[in-house]
Amino acid sequence: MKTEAILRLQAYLDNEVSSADARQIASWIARDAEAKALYEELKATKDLLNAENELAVTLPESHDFYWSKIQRAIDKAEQEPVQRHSPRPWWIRLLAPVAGAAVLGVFVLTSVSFNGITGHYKEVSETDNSITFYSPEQKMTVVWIPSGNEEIVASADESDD
Amino acid sequence: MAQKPEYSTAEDPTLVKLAQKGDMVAFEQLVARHRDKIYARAFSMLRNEDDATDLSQEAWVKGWQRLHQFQGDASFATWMTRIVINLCLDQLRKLKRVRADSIDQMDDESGGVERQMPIINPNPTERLERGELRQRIDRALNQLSYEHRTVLVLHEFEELEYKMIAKQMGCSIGTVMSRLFYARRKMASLLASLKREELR
Amino acid sequence: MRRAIFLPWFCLLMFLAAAAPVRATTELNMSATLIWGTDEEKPNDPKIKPVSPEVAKRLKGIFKWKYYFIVKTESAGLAEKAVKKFVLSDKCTVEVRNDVKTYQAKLFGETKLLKTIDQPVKVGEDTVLAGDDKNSTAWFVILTPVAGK
Repeated sequence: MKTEAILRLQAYLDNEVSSADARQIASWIARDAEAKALYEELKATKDLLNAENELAVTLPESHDFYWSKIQRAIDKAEQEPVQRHSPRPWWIRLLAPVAGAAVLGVFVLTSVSFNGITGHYKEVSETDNSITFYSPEQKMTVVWIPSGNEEIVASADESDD
Repeated sequence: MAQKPEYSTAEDPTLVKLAQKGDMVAFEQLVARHRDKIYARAFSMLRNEDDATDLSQEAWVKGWQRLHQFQGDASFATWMTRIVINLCLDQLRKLKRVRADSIDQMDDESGGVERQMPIINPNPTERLERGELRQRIDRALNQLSYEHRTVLVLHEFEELEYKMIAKQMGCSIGTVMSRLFYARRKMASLLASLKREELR
Repeated sequence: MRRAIFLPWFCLLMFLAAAAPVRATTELNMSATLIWGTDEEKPNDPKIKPVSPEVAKRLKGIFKWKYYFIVKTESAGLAEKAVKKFVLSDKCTVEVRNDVKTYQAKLFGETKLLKTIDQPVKVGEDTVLAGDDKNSTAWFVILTPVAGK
């Protein structure tokens, strides 16, 4: 079978052909055993590959941890454009960082008082980019110190050295 | 004083409207609700937990930044899925530039080897329970190249048309059709061989 | 007559005094543990042991690594305002100061100060300082205020 014919057969399976072409291809399948066999194989595979048969995977991290990293990235991205903007009155430039800090402060306070969804607070350090959050389920306050701040603290696997 | 919304029971359109006004708590609820789906799509394309976690987080950040663009034509989950798919495709393109692509080049330039593969009798997965079936499909998907797995994921699981897949993958419709054809034939062969392995 | 009025109040006062908690000690009992998180089931170092199932469950509730091993654990009592240095490895030290209702912890990595935190003293709740380690593993320093004796 020629490549073009085979791909038309597949396009027919995927409803990507016109009605006129669809009638032609259906007729071809009906009279050609090889075309029919190939069509049935493609159809069987297509029928298997649907959302119901897709393996469900879940995020391998807790929501708190996952969300804290997203939030940190959002905060960082939102602060950067304020500093890079082109000429504005000097007093605006003076206010911007202050305003930015105020917004961050309001955000942190809001999170603490509002309690968000899971009852935890979040804080992103402006000095060392560490992230602090509380997990009420595990009764733990976590301070995540991103790598790059300093050398690793310890390696239990001494054979790596 | 306006009543605070009940985030956990609010529907997505309500949360999106709140988030569009800057309500980060509403956005967090959307993340909590759809994080597994977005992560799963990234993982299905990248097949690496760390990369999928990183890219799905990046997708959420972009989602927040582009919320004003969301018009509600599709569901919020679908909109977010498109964002993470685009990020994964960018990542795969970068990987392709870096790694030796010999196998994938062979696949793309196979000269039609997929036309020579014997027809597989359908139903290599009959009598399998749903869980086993999913595992077997996943194992077979894992053995495809990035390009072939991507085109299958976008067409079969995301139900995108050829034209949209071509646009997202940055290739012609003809290439999409060839890759899809090869991927399907390869999957049929892999599923059949996985069945034979299990029967031994 | 006066005794009759006075006595019930006296009894109530004695009852309240007896029921009142003993004045809390200002000493802080602190436990510091260095834990290593990895996806390898059996690490190369035979000296390190897996954490308890309870601790593993709590860490897995937050972090993605599959296995957690204790590198070192130390405990000490700190008098009010006292500072105790816990040496958890040749690269990791944490200094804890007892501020009575709170404590301050300073984490040092290879003698360099990495992080200073101030936490309220809450028995039953831990503070975890954590970060990436090489080969996609992670380290965790868990500070646990322990109920006084």
